[in-house]
Order: sequence, then structure tokens, then C-alpha cells
Amino acid sequence: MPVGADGRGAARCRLALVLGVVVLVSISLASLVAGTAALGMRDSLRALAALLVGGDAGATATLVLLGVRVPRVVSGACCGAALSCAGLLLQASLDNDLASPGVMGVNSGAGLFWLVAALLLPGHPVARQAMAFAGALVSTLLVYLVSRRAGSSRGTVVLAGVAVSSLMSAGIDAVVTIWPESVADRVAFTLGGLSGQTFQRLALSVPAMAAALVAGAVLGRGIDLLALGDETAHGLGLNVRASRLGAIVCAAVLAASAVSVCGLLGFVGLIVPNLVRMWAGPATRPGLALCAVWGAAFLVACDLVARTVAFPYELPVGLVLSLLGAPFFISLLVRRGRGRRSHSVAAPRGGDAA
Amino acid sequence: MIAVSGLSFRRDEGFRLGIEALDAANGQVCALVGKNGCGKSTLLRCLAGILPYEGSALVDGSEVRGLGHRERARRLAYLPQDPGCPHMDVRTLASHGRYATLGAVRTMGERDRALVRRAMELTGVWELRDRLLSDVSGGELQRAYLAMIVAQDAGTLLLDEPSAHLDARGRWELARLLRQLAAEGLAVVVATHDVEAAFSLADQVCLMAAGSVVAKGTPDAVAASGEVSGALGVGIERQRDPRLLWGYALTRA
Repeated sequence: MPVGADGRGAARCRLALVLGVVVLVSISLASLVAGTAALGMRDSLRALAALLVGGDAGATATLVLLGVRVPRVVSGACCGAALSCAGLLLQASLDNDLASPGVMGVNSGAGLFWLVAALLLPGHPVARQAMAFAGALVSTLLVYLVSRRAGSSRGTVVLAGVAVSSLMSAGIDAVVTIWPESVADRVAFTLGGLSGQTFQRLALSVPAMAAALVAGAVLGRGIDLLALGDETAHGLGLNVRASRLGAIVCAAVLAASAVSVCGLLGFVGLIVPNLVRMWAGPATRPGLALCAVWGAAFLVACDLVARTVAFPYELPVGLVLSLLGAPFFISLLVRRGRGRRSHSVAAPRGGDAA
Repeated sequence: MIAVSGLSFRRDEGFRLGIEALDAANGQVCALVGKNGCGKSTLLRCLAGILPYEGSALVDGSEVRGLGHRERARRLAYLPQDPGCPHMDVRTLASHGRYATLGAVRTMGERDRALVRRAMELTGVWELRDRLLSDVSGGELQRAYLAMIVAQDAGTLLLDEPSAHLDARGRWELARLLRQLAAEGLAVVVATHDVEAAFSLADQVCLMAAGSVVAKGTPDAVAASGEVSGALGVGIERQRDPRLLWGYALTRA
């Protein structure tokens, strides 16, 4: 499969992008008309059509659609896109396809700091947002520094991520146990969920997500070089340390912005970027575009499943993601093991040039 | 071209690199030879701006450590030992050579594409351009990396063990390619264990031992210096038989 910037590689990216937009629009529409509220599918469709063309949708339908379902779908799309792009940036900059905001402790770091801010500064959503970003950054840098100290192999990075993630999760458990009032819905936060979303909550996160996405795309050409190894990238004129740090900061901002909206959703940032890189190759810029579209579609689809599979009950979307993500993670480990055996004569990478 | 004078580097474990003087002019191949751990790779990494050094290393008249990342890469291309086999095709790899010229945001223009194509043709990988790196042989992979640094369009190439993992035919083809690159006007500095090839292809040989240059000059001059057996543990002798692949052969010390 060619993975070049020209020719068939670019055609595959365009095809995946167009298909992704179609899937995202379709799933979003399906998600808008489905739900457990007292608004049937036919009424939902009628109300949606009325809202789109400017007719009278009715007070209840307007309330349910604009007050509940539209914010939920938009939040799901934004968080799915942000988490997927964060995963892609981590995988590319650490040259490790097991890296993701969940596995690397980014989500739990953001979650812990967000909770602490909610506890200490309950009326300051901006402070919570800033603390979530700080927590994500602290976790990622901890993982990066520990793995550098311990040899920087691909496996070490993931193990360091698991350790940091456990540490941060323990912190979250401690906070919600000792101060249960710090978070209104503990299960929704720790498992991750999209119920009760509002545009006000999203408004704080979307600008940060957009800025980090643009910055990641600008850094993308340099991030691509990191796959060649640090010394080779250095020889090509890349400031290796600055590029890697820039990618990590972008990933932290994206993940933190998502966590402050939807809680600790795991596996989105692992599954989507891996599938995108398998299909379209490792180039960061097209990968970010594809992750944004397919990540959004994936989380909205999982949320739709979570809302409808056990109707009239609603499962937390984090539960659906865990059921999908854990087998995927295992299959990745198996695939990597096979790949390593078949490439066991491959030469080792050069050292760290930074 | 590259000019070194009074360059030194000290590692924590006690190893010290000290190079009094070393020059590599445009159009010439300079081979660094010596035993494992003698400092060949360390010297190249100093010249590439990876390791901090004391003294002077000039590339086209400018101090290497004073150059920014991109400016350095526009003058000097460096290929480390065993650069790996990432998941990408040959053309994408070669295109990465244009990074320093393009910067982070811009995309490749016609001139960049032409330079990449020329580099791939020169190194013989144009026909392999759509193949994944994992699907080409070791020799082809090495040539793909060479295409990448030739596409960098820098005046000086620093190559660390480019013939590692190559078979006899691959070593021979690599030597011809390096001579061809020098004929294009590039200064080529190559660190290698392949002593026969180094003496056969280089204009200048630098024999290194324990972090310093113990003999340098033309291959004939170094072979006659009496330092080879001490530095390498083997001897080297000129071959006059035109049927032989290399112009020099190893002998017992």
C-alpha cells in the first residue's frame, strides 16, 4: 500500500475524508432523532425538518432537540475529534501506536486536576479548564521524562503511561471518595459520558481544541520526520525536542478540552488514529483531518449505541468504548508482537539527538 | 566543505575525542576508519551538531554549532548508522529531504519535486518510488536514505556506516555511488568499518584510534604510514590486479 504524499496515497485520504463526512452527517442525524426522551422518532424528524427549514417545531420538540440532543451530538463530535487527534499526535511524536490520551495517563491527569479545581474553585469554569490542561500536560511530560530516563523504548513509554495513569486515577478516586460533592455525577465523569451537555460548557473547550488542532497541523510536517528516528530528523533540520514537545502540548490541550466536557472517555484516542494510520499512512496532516472527521463520527455513533441498545435505559458511552477498546488494544499488542517477530532483524534506531 | 581544527568532545565515562585538524573539500570523499569505539561516529555527530564540542568545525566557512537547525541542514546532510525502516514509501522518504528548505508550513513546489526526482534517479531508486521501505532490500533501503539526503541539496554529506548490512555487491554499488556524488561536487565524509572499500574509494583517509587521528592523507600515504596495523589490528596493501573488485586488500598485521 503506497503511503506517499502523492498519487494513490493522497487519493485514499480524499476518499476516506469524503466518506467520513457522509458517515458523520448520517450518524449525527440518526442521533438527533433517536433518544429516550418523550419524543418519538417521527416527531423528532418532523421537528428537525421544521427547525431546518424554519417552520414551527413545537415547544417540547424544540426544547428536546435544541436543549438536549443538539448539544449532545455536537459535544460528542467535538470530543471525539479532539481525543482522536490527540491520540494521533501522541502516536506520531512518540513513534508508538499504543500511545493514546487514555493509555498515557493524559485523560486521568486532566481529570484529576479538573476535579481539584472544581473542589477548590467551584464557581470558576475557566480555572477548571486551565487546570485540566495543566494536568494533561503534567501527565504527558511525566511519561515522557520517565521513559527517556528508562531507555525510551516503545514499550517503556506505554509502561510509564500505565504507571502515571494509575497514579492519576488513584488521585481521582481519592478526591471523589473524600469529597464526593466535588463532582455531581461521579460515574458519568469517571466512565465518561455525554448526557447533560450544554453549549456553555462546550464554548470554553472548542476554541482551545481548534487552536491545538491548527497548531498540530502546522507542526505536522516536522512530526512526520520523528518516525525516522531522532538523529535522522535532526540531520534533516528538525528541532527534535521542540517538535516533540509541541506535539505533546497540542495533544494535552486537545485531550484536556475533551475531558472537561465528557469526562474520562478512554480508547477513542487509541482506536481511531490507529485505523486512520493503517488506511492512510503515517503522514500527520491528512491524518489529523481524517481523525477529526472519523473520531467525531465514532464517538457520536458509540453514544447512539449507548442510548439505544438497552432502551429505555441509557448506558454510559464510556462503557461501550471500553467494550470496543479493550479487544482492540489486545489485537494491537498481538499485531505488534507478530510484526516484531517478522522484523526481528530490523536495525535499532539511532539515539536521542535532542 | 568542512574544516575541523582543535575539536574536542568528552563523554562522562572518560572517552575523549580530540581532532587537531581535518578537512573535506568539495568533490572529495574523506573516509574515517578505525576500530569500534575509536570515535568515528562521535566525530560525525559533533560535525552534525548533535553533540556539543569545543574547538572549531566549519561548514562552508560557518561554525556548525552557531547555525540554526534549518540553516545547518541546508549546508550539511547527515545520515546516522542504522536509520531504521519506518512505515512509508520510498518517495515520501526522499521528499523528507526537502524539510529544511520548505519549513514547517509550506508544501513542495516544482523545484522541490524536481530535486527529489533527480536525487532518486541519481541513487537508483526512482523505479522503487511507490514501494514501502519494508518491501525493499537492505541495499535499496540504504539507497533510499541516500536519496533523502541528496535531495537535501547540501554541499556536504556525513554518512555513518552506510555499508552496514549490505552484501558484497551492495558495498560495491554504494562505493560507486559515493564517488558519483563526489563527482557532482559534494564533499562526502564517510565513517566505515569497510576498510578495503574506504581505501579504494576515498581521496583522503583518516585513520583513527582512541579518539584521535593517527594518520591521514591519500590512501597510499596512510597505507605506507606504518600506523594501520596498530590502529586496525590488520594491514592493508594495494592491489594491482584489475580483475579484483577493490584496489586494496586486508593483510595480516
